[in-house]
Amino acid sequence: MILETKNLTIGYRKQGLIQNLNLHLKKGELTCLLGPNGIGKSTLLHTLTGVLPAVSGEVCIQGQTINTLTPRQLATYIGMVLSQKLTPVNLTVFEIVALGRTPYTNWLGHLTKPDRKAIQEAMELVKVEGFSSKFIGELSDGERQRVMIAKALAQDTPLLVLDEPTAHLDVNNRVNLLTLLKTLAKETDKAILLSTHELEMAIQLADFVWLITEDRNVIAGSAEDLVLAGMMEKTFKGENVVFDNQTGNFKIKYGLNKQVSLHGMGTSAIWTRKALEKEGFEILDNGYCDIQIHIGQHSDNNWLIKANNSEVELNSIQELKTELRSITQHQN
Amino acid sequence: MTFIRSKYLMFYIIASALVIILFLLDIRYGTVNIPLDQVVKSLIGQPLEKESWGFIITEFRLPKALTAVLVGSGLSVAGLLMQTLFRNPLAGPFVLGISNGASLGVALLIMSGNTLFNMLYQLGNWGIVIAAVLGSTAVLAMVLLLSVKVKDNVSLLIVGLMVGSATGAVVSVLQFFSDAEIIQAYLIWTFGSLAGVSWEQLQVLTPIVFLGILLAFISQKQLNTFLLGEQYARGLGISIKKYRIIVIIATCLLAGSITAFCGPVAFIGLAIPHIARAVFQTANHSVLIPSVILIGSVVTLICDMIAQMPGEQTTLPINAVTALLGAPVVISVVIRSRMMKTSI
Repeated sequence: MILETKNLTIGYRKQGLIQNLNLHLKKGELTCLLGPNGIGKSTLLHTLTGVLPAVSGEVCIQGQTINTLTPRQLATYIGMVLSQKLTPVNLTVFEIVALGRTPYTNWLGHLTKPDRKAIQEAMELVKVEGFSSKFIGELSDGERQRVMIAKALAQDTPLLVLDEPTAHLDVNNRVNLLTLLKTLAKETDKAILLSTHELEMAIQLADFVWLITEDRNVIAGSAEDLVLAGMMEKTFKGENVVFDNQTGNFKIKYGLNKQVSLHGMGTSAIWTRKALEKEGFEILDNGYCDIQIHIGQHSDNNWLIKANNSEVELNSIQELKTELRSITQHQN
Repeated sequence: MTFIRSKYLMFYIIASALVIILFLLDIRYGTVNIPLDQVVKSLIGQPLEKESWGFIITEFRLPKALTAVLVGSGLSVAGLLMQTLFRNPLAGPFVLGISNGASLGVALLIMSGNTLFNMLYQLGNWGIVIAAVLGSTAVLAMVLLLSVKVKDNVSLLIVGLMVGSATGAVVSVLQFFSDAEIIQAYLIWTFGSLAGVSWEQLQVLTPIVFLGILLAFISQKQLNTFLLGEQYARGLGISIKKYRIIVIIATCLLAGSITAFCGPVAFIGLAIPHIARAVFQTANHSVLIPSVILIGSVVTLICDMIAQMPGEQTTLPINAVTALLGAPVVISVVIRSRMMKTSI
């Protein structure tokens, strides 16, 4: 057990935002903190890392209550990575990772042999050792975030806390970063806690999930258990979006005001269905209504619309959409 | 963070030699040019060919050259501290109104007629320095508070200019309500220049500049973490409040005391750190602090020599010379940060 909270209440200025938390983080596990915007994810992280004082209760890290630790001691327990983009400074990758050794170095910041070894290992773990003498401004956003993780690793702490580390990254880099964290948790036996908006990815990668619900409770458990209990669907319910318990994805809610029936199977059918929903059609499988669409009568890219006693054959989804629009306009 | 590599050492040796040479040349040239061997003789206490030369050197040229070194190193360190504190490449004692704050402090001291200020006034040079340092601290604290609201570089610059001109306006109002005699005393102070600093004033200025630089030197490790931003610095176990206060005190001691005796000197504080970063390609304070001290001294000595216009009877204001030199540096910084390259 690396981190434990005992009857912790968090919030600002003595006002409890989320009450009575009894959470824990284990060695070698990647825990994702999920929840809608503005629900208190950052407040929770700030309280766990000692930036904000707890309203009541306590946070223990490896048996030590955090408010009994000096800032320097605390920095040897928790390594942090933030979402903010680093302003480009004239520092090399090595120098930034070396700053992770701050809690251990003397007043001049002199690096000893063990310090240099820790820095080298940290850079190798996140695979940035190849550009250790490059300036941070020369790197891509994804690489910069990896450098910041290396800095946190060089800090040599049992716990890593990341506050939305993927916020400024593109999809590819997000996946890479989260997979990297998953591997790091296993390889280094650290506890890693990160807050994220990436619900779908978190479900696929996290060992453990803390979900802050709408009514300000934190539910902890396996992602799959939370999905099955319907917690995800309930928490991430938007006006125009819904969490699909079947697929673990978000689905956009379209105003479905027209009906078609769809006949066919395979990948073509899946994408035809998506296109039709976007157009506002409710789809009746194998039922029969005024407009019928048949897929793959002659080949894979072939659609047949039967409506108003006539049949039209089409060769792309675009043509299908155009045809449907003209049919429904006539009906109105 | 890293070892003092041999290339740094070479630079420090060359730059130190340059400071000594320029220091001697600065004493040599002026309205009366004095041969170099006589300058050296005078400094090591041997008799000179002409007695008047000895008088010129000890009473005018030597204190002026010492002041140039103090001003150059002090303002450069102050500028470096401010750029790191605000994480803004355009911060500097002059542009953010710190010098104006010092002027306000002195104006209050001379013109307000308040008992507290009168007591300070009785302290002479120390009183002026205390007033100037307090004035600059007030302005820096205000700009720092506002900087929490404005994140981007140029807005902060505008805020600094506004605070600076508001401070200037208060001085004008004070002048309006003051007697001619008192205004004269204040105006004489504002005409301050490197040449106007006496030995008595140097006895005050030197320890304060040394103290400011010492504070910067002992905070170098913390300053390096400041480069990553406040939150990261805190995560590394730095007590932000404590070191922010130390940095503010150091900056105000340096900028305030120098302004108190020499008047506002533009752009040294802003430009020198950028020159040092361009030379060494680093933002590491353990390298930058000694570098800006050396480069600042070199540049200010050169500026002073240009201002003297050797052989001519007139001198240029030092402020004009430093501005001519600093403005292009500032423009290049703005262009470079527009291109999203590194800035601090």
